[in-house]
Amino acid sequence: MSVSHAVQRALASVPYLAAAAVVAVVAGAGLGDAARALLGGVVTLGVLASALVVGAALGTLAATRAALGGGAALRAAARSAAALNGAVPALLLAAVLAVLAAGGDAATAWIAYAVPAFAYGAATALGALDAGADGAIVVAALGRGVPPGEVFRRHALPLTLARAADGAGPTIGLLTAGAGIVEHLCNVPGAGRMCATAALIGDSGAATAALTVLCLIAVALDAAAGATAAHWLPRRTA
Amino acid sequence: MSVSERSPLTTAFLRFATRPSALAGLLALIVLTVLPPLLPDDPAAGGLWLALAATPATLGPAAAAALAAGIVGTLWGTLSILTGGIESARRLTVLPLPMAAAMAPLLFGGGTAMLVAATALACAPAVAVPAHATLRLMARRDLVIALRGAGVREDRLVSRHILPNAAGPLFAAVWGAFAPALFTVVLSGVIGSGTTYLFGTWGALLTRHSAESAVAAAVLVGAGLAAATAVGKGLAVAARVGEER
Repeated sequence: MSVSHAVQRALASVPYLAAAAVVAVVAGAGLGDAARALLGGVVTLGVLASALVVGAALGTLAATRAALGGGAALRAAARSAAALNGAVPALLLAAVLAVLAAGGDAATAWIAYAVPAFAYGAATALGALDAGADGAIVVAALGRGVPPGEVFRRHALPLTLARAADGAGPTIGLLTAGAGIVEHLCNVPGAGRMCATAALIGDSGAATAALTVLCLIAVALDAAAGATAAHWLPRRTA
Repeated sequence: MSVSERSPLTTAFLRFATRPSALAGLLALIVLTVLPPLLPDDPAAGGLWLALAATPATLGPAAAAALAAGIVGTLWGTLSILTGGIESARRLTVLPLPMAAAMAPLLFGGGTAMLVAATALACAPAVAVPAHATLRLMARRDLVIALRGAGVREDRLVSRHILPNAAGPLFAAVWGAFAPALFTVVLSGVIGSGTTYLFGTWGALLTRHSAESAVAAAVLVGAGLAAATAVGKGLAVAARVGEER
């Protein structure tokens, strides 16, 4: 993992984090609010990051395998998941799961995050392998007689994983935005629930403090994603 | 009729129509827009009735915010070409801006107008990034460089060659704000800010009414987002029209 790449991405977002912190202070957030938000942030980061990584990696893996001649069922599953990308935000899934299960828990929240992440991974992988220049590397390797297993492992998977990691920013933004509702519905004691609950009762100080922590989580996840992309695809520099 | 005899709009629509999902999405959005006013006035009809009745209160602010985001984002993308770089907008798309926008009416007041304005600002970076890419690509085409070298005036280059070719991709970029705007309006309904219509919004139905209306609202939110995304993909295909004018 390229640490300098992660630092570079995170530093580019520092002005926005500082602006969010200033808004929180102006809105009346105290040290107690900040401490509660940071503690909740640890919970949010644990649930959200693990679901995002597992969901996106599995989605990328399944779609890459499907694009390189997986079975018909796998291809159909990958295409269906890719079609869902953007259509099923985590908050929606959490709402339905919470209604069906009469409440929810951290596992429900994890599933609510992981499913959109899986759809994102599948859509990005199929797009990367379809795209002219990048997909051509895989086609060329197959055309030159490289065994399909090796093409999958050495060419296709690093490419699709790198693309998924590199473009994860907007998905991270939507998932952290949805965290407020997902944690609220699923009773997860994270920064998201603190944000939504404080907003509901009009406590602007606590709400903005929690929102600042959500921004911090998003920036950290994006930095890690950028570093992962740089690791998998060294020729990409941005 | 050959391709060259068709108008750019006809060609664009035919390309759009090559994607059945885009046509289905467009049809779904039309139905969602037209159906609610035709509903019988019967609140006892159940969750689906409530969810359909909440459609204008949800799609209206989302569409207004997406339009405003399109204008702001296009201007942002254009200015960023002059000032050099779109990295600031790209960084902003990583942040949970929909949540911040959904909270804005609670923090600052202003009701639906504040929600629309905050949503527009939150969604503008998602338009600015592709708008910037489109305009930069159009301004750097071989044809434009050759015409500039041949002494064609800048205003004529912009009005005759850059803008007509950029119009399709820019429209697709502006449409890209609709799904995030809808997401933000739903989010605001869940946390109870912004809109105060009689039957609330899809977001309000997700958490504040019966399980039946929550599931119906979830289906409509999913359908709305899927339709917006599918139409966006169709527009991206259609926007390749007029490449060599």
